[in-house]
Amino acid sequence: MIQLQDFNYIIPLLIITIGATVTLVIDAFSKNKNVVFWFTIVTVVAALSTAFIHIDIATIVFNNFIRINILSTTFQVLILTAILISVFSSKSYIEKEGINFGEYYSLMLFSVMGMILMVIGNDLLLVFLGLELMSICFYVLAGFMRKRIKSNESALKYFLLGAFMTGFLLYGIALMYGVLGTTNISTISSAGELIKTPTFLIGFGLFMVGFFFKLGVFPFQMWVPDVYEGAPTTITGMMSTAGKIAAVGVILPIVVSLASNITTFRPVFSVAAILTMLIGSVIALSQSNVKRLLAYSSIASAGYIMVGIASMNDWALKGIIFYLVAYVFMQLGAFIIISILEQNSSDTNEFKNLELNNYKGLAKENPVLAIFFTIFLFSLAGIPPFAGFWGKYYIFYAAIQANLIWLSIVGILISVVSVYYYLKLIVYMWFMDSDNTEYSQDVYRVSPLTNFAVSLTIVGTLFFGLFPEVFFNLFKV
Amino acid sequence: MSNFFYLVVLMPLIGFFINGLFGKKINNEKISGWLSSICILIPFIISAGTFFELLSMSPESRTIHQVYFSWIATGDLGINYAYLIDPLSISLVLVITGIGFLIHLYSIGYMHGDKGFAKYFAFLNLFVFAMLNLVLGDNLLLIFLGWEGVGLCSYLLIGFWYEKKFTGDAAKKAFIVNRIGDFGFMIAMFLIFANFGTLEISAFLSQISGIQINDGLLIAISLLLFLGACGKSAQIPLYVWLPDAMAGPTPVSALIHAATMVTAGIYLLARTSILYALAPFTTHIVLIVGLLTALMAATIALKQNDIKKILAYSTVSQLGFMFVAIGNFAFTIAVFHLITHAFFKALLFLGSGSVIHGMHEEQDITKMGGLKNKMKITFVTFFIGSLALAGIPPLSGFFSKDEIMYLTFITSGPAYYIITLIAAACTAFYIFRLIGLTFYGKPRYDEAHLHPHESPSLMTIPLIILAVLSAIGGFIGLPHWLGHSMLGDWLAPVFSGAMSILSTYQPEHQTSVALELGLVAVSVIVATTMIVISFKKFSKQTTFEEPTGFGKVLENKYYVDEIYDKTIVEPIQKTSDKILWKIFDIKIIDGFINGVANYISRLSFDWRKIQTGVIQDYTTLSVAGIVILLIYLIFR
Amino acid sequence: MIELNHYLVLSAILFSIGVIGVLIRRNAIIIFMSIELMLNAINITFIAFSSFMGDIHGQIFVFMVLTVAAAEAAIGLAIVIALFRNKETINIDEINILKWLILSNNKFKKCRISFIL
Repeated sequence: MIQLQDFNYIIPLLIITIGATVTLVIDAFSKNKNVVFWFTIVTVVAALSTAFIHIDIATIVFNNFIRINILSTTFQVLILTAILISVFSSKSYIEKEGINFGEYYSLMLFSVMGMILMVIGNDLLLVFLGLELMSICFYVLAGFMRKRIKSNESALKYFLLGAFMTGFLLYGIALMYGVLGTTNISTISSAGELIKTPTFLIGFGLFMVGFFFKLGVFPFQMWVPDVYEGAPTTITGMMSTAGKIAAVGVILPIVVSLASNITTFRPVFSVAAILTMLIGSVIALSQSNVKRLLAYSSIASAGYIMVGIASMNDWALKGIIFYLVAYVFMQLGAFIIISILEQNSSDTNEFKNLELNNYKGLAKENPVLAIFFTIFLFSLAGIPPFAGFWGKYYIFYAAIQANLIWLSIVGILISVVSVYYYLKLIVYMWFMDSDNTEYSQDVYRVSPLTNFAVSLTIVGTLFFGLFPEVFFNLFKV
Repeated sequence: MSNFFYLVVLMPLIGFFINGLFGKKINNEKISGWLSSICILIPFIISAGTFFELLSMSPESRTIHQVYFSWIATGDLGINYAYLIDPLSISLVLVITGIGFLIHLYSIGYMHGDKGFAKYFAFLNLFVFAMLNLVLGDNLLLIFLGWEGVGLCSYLLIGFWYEKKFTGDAAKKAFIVNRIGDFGFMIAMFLIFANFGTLEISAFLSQISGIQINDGLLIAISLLLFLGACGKSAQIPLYVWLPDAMAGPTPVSALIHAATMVTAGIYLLARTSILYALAPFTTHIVLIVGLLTALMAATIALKQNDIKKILAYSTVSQLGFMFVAIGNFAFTIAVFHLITHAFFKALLFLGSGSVIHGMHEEQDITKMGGLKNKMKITFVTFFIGSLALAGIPPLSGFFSKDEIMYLTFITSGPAYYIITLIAAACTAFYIFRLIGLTFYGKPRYDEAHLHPHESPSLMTIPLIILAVLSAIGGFIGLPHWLGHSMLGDWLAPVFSGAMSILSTYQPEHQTSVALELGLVAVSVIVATTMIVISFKKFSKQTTFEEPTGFGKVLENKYYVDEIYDKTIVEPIQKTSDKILWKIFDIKIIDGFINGVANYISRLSFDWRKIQTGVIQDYTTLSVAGIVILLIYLIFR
Repeated sequence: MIELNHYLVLSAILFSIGVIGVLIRRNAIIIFMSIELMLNAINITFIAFSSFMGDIHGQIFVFMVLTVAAAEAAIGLAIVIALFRNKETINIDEINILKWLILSNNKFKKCRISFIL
């Protein structure tokens, strides 16, 4: 039976749902866009703070439909943090790009609703609904700059590919349902020998494929560069962090709880991990567009996450979560800095300061931006003492614990390659002179809210780099 | 007060952030300077409160272990961010924050008008933060964090006036020489972790307690730690950076290169006293190194003309005395001398800073003279500091130094005692040469253009406070023929482990009050004689000749820098230039790396073409992937 | 007698037709229709399982899938219309600005082409 106190456990979800709806209403009746913005901030902050309430509780409510435990709470907090930073960085960007509509925030909130449903859902039905809610919002947000062909194209590509892969995901769920007669995740996790039947394994494989698409794992990574390039930069940042966290939040607990029954998949995951890291790291070298470069870097990151998923042990749980923590800060930070440069472009066409060449001499024009970007890139490259280092470290440690020593060696070698293109960008910023001589220091205007967002990300990157264990002191995963 | 103890470390960090991030925006010397001074004063007050809290406990239970959070935990390695508050660490915290606060005050006057004012205070606060971590950390990694942190701050502050080339060179020299010591520290840390599976000091010490004396592993670890200590505390052969470090602002020399940072090596050895009690072989090496350093630096100081260089060599020599104390297993006395030295050496450095300030950046004592009447407070306080350094009773230096010399006599023998006596004699001589040339005689500077003046009260008040401390500081550790050593009782629980190990193999030494009084009389007479000779000679000297013979060797610091250049630096540079760089690096490494890099970037240019932009190609690839997956699952 | 397998095979065939449609058709709308076909094939699977196991969950799932498909159709058509306004085509082959060859400032950048692998 559903009891009234069950609603206690989904307060963050309720807040986001109400907030998303009310934002639409406010937007319809108010001319002042600031109201919508601040209301969104209040909503996300409220959801974020209430997410901590049930940090020590592990329970299943709503007739086995909602699962509240430390994992789901951690993922909720991560998602909401990513959204909070994205919202802060969005305001000046969408004003500058002429897409300052209230729906922007509303869609963001609806997508968060989907993400939270995904990570707390204890039934594949809820997971599917959450995934679709998130994806549909993302399709629209990717094409939010509707006057621009690039944005339109990225939305269409994302939509067609996303809907296509949803088909496989659903087929997988149908087959799993056919074998077990249930779509409840807890029941699936405790199904025992039935899991080893071929039909179930095929269904499970197709199910995983649907999420690998969202993560951008080879060979389903093709959409990533195109969509990331065309979408508004703040949305790209959000998709690549919050979206990924939600996808990982679904598959990671399932994989870890089924670990002993799905060893068949270990070679598959390992090969996918290596190919993903390889494709991401190698192709990134020849990119001349910064957003595409970071898109390939995020494919490589998906590869590292896959290393953890292939390990399927508790260490992987810890490692992937910490990698995501670091990822929220460094990836969002990098995208926010790209968006700052984009906003300060004097170009009127679609190529707004997004070429590598535009980053030449950034260190002289705006040293602070350059230092911050360098820190994010170092962290993404996994250089201590930044947070990204510990993320990679824990993941490769998990792989070694799972006896996947060859996988971690290959992974570390490939991550050496990835240092190459991060350094390339750093060399452009610090050791090359700008082509454009008319730039001076005051060209780059950064709004206070964006400033705040960047500060949050830099603090996170440094703090979790210096004190990695603090996170697990709070979230006892 | 120990509930707020985290503030002790947090406040300097906050000061660092505020001054570092907003210093330029605030652009106000008063706010920047006082803010960072208060960020040191509050920790001083809190640690004083904690001190009395410890005092109210019973002697055996005087430790507070504060674990803040788990810092790093992977596999077998679990490290907490935790502080160990015990009599030893709290004593040093009091010295660091107390003297640190005075030097911050002094700096507000000294650095007045400098364009890097806020930056200077930011670095100074960061230094205090790192130093407190070093002293308080309960595990070697946290200590190492502080260790490297103080090294970094020292580097930044030596090179603070980076426009001048020699400051940059001096900063680099300090950094590189310290790296050699750090290398020893790190290897020791790895050895400890590999063999004992922990980096927490108390756990490590309790594990080794059962091991036999002079075990090979313990000797290796203790020697490596001592190498680290040599780097930080400027002992032979790694002392060369400290005299050059005087290129930084004078208050920095007083705080970092005299009172606190350079004593980190002593602290490390005292903290791991059980290890050194178990490895008498190493401890004997510590003794010899300390003796040689004390003697060598004291003789070099005889012939130097730069006021700060003299004090720098004096610091090296006094640090040598502290190592001599540790070499005689007299850990308490080493800490005692550390504290008194911090008082009078900080005083002497600040006094010299006041002189330099008054003389408009003149540091050559042959170009001074007769400053006695023009800078009265500076003169009086400097004189008190010098008497303390020379070991004249009842000033603080007398108690601590004579105790070291006495212990050397009874533990190691008369021969070693003679060396310390010569070093002490040289000390008395050079410091009164400095006084004579600087404050007495006729002015040797251009009186028409240079008008030396007393420094502002912000600078003289710290001088007065430190002079009082230098004068009475010795009473915390009275020798037993005179009374009761409060410091000895206070530190006894910390070193009780080492002492009980020591009593198992070392025979009880015959102590005799008569002998001790005799030795005291000898050293006081020697010191007084040296003072008188030196003073008579130099207070009237007007002409200066190039020294010849041994004097020239001394003036050139035994040519140690030149020897290092010829035997170590140049061969390394030559091999790295001719062989390592031109052949190994360019041909082999670069060839390999560039080859791989070129190959990968060509690969990249080919592979990126899979991104055709057409949706059908993407879906085809995905379907192909799914089909392969299905084939694998069906036919596996 | 129609067994469970008949339904499953039917749905698999329909699903494959849908996939092939996505792979070979060039019109965005028709691709989308093929995707709808895939979803409906899955619905048949769900209902077949649900009916033969006597379990209601599968049929509830079908309702959700239908709803989601409707929402996707609305969004998808809107995206196609927005694109059509700017580009006046919905032929997938022509919608390929975003790809490896970078169109920078209206000039094609020359790329080094070599065949190692």
